[in-house]
Amino acid sequence: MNTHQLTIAGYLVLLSIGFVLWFATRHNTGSRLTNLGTMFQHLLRYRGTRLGLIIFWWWLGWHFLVSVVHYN
Amino acid sequence: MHNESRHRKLSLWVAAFALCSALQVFRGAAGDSYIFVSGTILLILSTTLLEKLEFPSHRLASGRHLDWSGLVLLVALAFTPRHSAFDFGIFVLLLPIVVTLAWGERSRPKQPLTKRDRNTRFVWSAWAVAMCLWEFAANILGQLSTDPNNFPTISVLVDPLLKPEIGQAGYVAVWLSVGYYLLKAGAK
Repeated sequence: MNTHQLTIAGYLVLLSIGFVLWFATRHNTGSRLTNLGTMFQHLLRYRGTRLGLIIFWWWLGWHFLVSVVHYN
Repeated sequence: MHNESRHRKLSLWVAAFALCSALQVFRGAAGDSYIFVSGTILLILSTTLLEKLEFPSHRLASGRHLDWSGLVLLVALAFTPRHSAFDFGIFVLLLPIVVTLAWGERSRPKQPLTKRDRNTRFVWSAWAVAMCLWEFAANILGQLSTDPNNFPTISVLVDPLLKPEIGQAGYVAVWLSVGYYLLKAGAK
């Protein structure tokens, strides 16, 4: 496995973990973790979180739709 | 991102944005550096000098304005060429609007978190940090390597998927849905 494949494998592993976490907690019935929506409802009470998330969200749109991604 | 045990003036988002700013400077991306440095300054001001400044965004975000705006943006961004002056104009107009809507009222008083809430926050924070570290490592190693494609970043992997119209439309739909959710949930 070369570094290109290893890097992609890392992203896929992390995405899979995120998906499993979301899927396992989505009904909010577990005793250890709440679901993602409940967590966001709590975090979005804070202005810093609201601003941080919305600016980062805007940048994600800007990055792919306005900026040109350089491949090398 | 917040410590419940004591009042903290600066959120950890400031540290996160400062780190992103440093990475953009390292990449030599002038535009992105400017965005993240400005974001860092705005985050600092939002909890210090401008802390008392409030905007009743819930009135706008809870009505139908947001639904119609989202629909207009979907049509405008999904089917027009990327990297155009038109897209540039839309994003320049969009930034102050979403920042104002997200600004809202002051942070509400802290409430004690249950153990489940604390566990959830810790697990998802750890996941986000791991994802950022992997991306940062790929970015840095890619620039130090003779061939940047040895360590592809998320941008390099996702960008080709947006070249077909269906990919661009799908990305815009998902991206707008996330923004819509953040503004709606933040205004509650």
